[in-house]
Amino acid sequence: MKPEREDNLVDVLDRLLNRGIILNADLIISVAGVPLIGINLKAALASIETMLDYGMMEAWDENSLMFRENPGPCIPGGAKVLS
Amino acid sequence: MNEGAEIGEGRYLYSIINNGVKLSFGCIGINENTVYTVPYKDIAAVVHSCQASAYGTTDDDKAKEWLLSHNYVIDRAGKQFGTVLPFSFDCLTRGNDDTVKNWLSQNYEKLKGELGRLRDRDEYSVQIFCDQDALVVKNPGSYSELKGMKEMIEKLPKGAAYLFQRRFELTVKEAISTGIMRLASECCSLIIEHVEEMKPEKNTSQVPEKFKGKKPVVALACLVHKDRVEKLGEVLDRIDKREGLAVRFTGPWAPFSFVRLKEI
Repeated sequence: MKPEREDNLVDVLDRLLNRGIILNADLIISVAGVPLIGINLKAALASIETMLDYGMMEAWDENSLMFRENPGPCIPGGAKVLS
Repeated sequence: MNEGAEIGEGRYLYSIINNGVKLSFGCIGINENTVYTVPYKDIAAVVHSCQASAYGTTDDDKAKEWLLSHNYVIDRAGKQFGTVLPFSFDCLTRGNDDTVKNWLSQNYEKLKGELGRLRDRDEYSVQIFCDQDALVVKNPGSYSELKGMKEMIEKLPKGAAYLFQRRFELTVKEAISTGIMRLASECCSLIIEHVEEMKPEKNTSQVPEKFKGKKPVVALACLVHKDRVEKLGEVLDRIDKREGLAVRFTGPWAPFSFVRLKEI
């Protein structure tokens, strides 16, 4: 079996928002108020939230190492900014 | 940042490469910015110049475009220079190339160490799904218990049948849960022989049509040496051919899940 690179948005999103190098706070751009990208991408992920609500996708529960049904909204990692 | 304060210069960070070359990749960055390297000794940061301000938009399509651009730049650098250390989306520094160079200098040993540790390794995603029925049928104990319960319920009057039906449903759920745990454990022990590191993935991706209706059993991010990918593929092929199971194997990705550099 050969691995495929489908580059679907959800695969990419999960890696880019939640993983990789994260900078020390002193170097990060400080933006007063809301992490802009986080909120906007949450809207973009609304379709995923809907799929979760309808049980079409199941989220991975880190504690039990199992998938669990209807876990609630999917919250993205958001931008690396400080208020 | 204080309101009214001038927004200064900044650098958007994509990745760190294990090469001290000074070059430009062209206009492949977010918003078609020119992406280039800022070298320090034998490593370099892959960046584009921008304002010292996080990227934000109300346009979903724009947000998606930015993410895919970020990923594309990481892939391009990886193809040319081997395994890179990828940044999360929207990491910026204030200042200019010298700021980036100073940061590289301060963290050189850590970065070089990670680049060495992850050389020739990529991240792969493994998701395994199973037909719900197969989970129960394959467990003879559960199957005969459930068969017995079902036959008994069919003979009961309505009221009693309803109560036992609820118990039956809970028993099915438990059998599936037990089946999933057993299967997950078995698959993990087969996979771990061929990977260097393995982590559960938090969220499933959008499931392709061919897997719809199947129960997710396990989702893993795996760090795999390039020489062992084929062997891992063979193991996954054997799992995929088992009755009721299906495997989704994607990658390679830069080692997002395995970079041990947080808050540097």
